[in-house]
Amino acid sequence: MKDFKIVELEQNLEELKKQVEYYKKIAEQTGNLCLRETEELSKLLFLHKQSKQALQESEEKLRNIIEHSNEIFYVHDREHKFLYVSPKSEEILGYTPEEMMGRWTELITDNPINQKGIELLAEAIKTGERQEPYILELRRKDDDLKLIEIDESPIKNTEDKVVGIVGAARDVTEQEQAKKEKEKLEAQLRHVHKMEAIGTLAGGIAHDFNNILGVVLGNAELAMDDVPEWNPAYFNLQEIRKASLRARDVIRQLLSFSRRTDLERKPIRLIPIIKDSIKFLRSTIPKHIDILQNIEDTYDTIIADPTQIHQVMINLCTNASHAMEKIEGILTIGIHYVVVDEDSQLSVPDLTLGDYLKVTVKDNGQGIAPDVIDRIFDPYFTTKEIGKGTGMGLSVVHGIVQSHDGVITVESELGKGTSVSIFFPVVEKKVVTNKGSLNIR
Amino acid sequence: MKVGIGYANRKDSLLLGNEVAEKAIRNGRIDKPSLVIAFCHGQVDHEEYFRGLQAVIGNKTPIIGGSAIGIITNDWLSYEGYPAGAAVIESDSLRHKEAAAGDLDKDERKAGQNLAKKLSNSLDSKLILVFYDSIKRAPTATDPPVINASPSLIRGIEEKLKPSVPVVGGGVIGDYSFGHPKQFCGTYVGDQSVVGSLMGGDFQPYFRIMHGCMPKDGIYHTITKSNGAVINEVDGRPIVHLIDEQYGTQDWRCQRPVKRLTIGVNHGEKLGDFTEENFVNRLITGALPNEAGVVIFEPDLDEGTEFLFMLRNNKTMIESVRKNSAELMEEIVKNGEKPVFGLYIDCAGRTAKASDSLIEEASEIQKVFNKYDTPLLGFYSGVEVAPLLGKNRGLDWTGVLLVFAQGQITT
Repeated sequence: MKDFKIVELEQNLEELKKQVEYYKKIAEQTGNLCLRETEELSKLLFLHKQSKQALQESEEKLRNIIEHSNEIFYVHDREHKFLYVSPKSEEILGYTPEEMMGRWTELITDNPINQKGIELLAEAIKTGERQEPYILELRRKDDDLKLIEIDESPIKNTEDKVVGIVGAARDVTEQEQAKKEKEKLEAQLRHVHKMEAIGTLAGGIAHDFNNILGVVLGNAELAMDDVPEWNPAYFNLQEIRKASLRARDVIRQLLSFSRRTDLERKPIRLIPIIKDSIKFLRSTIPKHIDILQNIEDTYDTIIADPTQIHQVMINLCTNASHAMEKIEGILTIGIHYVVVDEDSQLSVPDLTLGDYLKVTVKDNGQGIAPDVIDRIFDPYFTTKEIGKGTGMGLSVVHGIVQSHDGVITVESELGKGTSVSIFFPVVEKKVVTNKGSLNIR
Repeated sequence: MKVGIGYANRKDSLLLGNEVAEKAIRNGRIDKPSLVIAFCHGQVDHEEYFRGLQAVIGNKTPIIGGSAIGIITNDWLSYEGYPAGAAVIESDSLRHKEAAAGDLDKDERKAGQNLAKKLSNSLDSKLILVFYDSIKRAPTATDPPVINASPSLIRGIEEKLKPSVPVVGGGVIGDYSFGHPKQFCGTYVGDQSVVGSLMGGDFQPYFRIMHGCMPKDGIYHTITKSNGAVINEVDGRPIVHLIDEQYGTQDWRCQRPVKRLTIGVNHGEKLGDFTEENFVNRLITGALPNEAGVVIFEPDLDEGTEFLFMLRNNKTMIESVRKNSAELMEEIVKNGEKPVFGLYIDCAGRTAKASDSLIEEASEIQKVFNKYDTPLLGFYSGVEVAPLLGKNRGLDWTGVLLVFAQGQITT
């Protein structure tokens, strides 16, 4: 029989063991729960870090694309306040993104082409619809002008309301210049083809007509020998002869234009011939027109027909004087030596590389309207009143210049005057002084 | 004592060495370097990096250190890319002697003895700084890595040197894949080596161990079957099944190392209040594929050892670092001394990346050192070595902060 106290102690011990087991179980469960929650939290943190990293990488990638693109990317709100401008702005426009944000409106020039862009932007903000790309002329920090193509899209909020604009701006200055240059070259090519076609036609007709006219004139003169002067028919024959002679002059002009006349080309000094022409012209051009000479003392030998050079000067100066009929005119005749290299060739694309004498006839008359300037070398094209010109003057000049392997250019501004430049290739250059460059002055 | 810290992160290893050394010399205004402690990431070409350091510092100044998963300095903390750092020390009053021993993978204890023999105990020793190769065998597709045992190494050192000299340092590791690291052995680059510097003279070493684990449930378990670094059974049950029950899943078996659970041995009073300084924690590097057991980072837990499962806790870890580093610096100042250089040996498992933390715990150390304007060099290690409860030990998942203090502060 156990002592009561021992039994009690054994019972207490048993109870304590149970309690320890109970607490151990609780502690184990709590510990496991804590471990599992910590593990779960750890996984969540890992996922969070992973997605954060993925987002950072994605942002980095996007930023790289934006910052290394050739375009300026930007975002602005409805009030045109810029919220973002990519760093490319510094390269294209000379302004840092921060500078751009503050003063971009000052960059827009007053060029009328900008109006379309302003209207399209307003339309995009108003309607929320993407508009076609447009071109703005902007002024760089260094004052250069740039043509910028803008492509924009409206940004809408969840209520479909436009809250801003996201856009890309691309420098298209060079492309636009190249486009204009190409259009100009195409127009020149078309013009050359047209003049050649007209020249062939006119030359052919003139040749046949000249033969027929020879028969008419010869027979008229033979008939005049046979018909006495008192006979009224004699007067009629005289009129036939006069008309035939006038017709022969017209045919000569047509043949000059079509380059079918016989040339007497030989090495000549151009300056004395031009000076002779000026002397002659002084007596025929009205006194209210001053003739200024800007003739460079330079080597001036070209291969040419002196008579035709004379013809060129008379035709050009006569046209100039007609343009200055109603004003105190100034006719400036210049001769300069120019060297055409690869850089300067761009200003007159028809010229091949080499040395030229540039003869300029410039007036301060009424100028030529842009819509007709392409037609001024067409035979019989004239803007003069009836009786003041046949429309053959410039056609003849064009034909003569081409037959001398030269090039003719015309610059004109309405109300300010016209400048015609002719480039004659120089030959056998021995001594050249005061050599100029091809800046068309 | 003047100390300059250099840091760089670039692919060209030679230039990396040049840049790190140049910056250290410039930052510390060093004229005559006497010792360099240097580390670099595992993917750096260590020979080239070493050559780059020597090109600037000269080949007469010993360079000790080796691979690291990452670098910590006053201004930098990185374990991405090619991070490298160095502390260049100039001091006439610091007496030091460097030596190295190899064949660690063959016999850790003998390597420790060889090192100690070369160092001798002639100096008025205050500290032995050691860095050794952590990896005996790199992991394979099926097997976890095998680690060089720190207890045997430390025992070897202590057998030949005064045991009272504190051994502080770390087992180096170059990447999270546990690839083979390298060691900077004074004048050459070695592997399977231990390099040490016996230090004495006019300075005082202070150190603290940063923890961050707490008992999961306070229940003691006993290892009933083990083999070296592998624990097979606990309380007569397969340890893998026991851990499966704790997690409620088997997902943890894929983790290398296991992220949240460690094994802690309490060297204090068994049922006393929890004191983190009394615990030595062992990282579980992974589960064996056939459920035969788990591998721990050090092969020092024998059958019969009582342990607790410990929960790794980021908040506790950061609080421990913040508190201990601040207290250590306060203690130095209170003793009338000035902290002149800090070396932080930080377990690679404590990075924000490895511990899924939002904060880098080492940033707390940076804050404290910047407050005291004291040069700091730290590296992410495999094993940390420091005295704990009066005995030099290899530790896991700790940060060991060693501070060199000097001089009297006059008021």
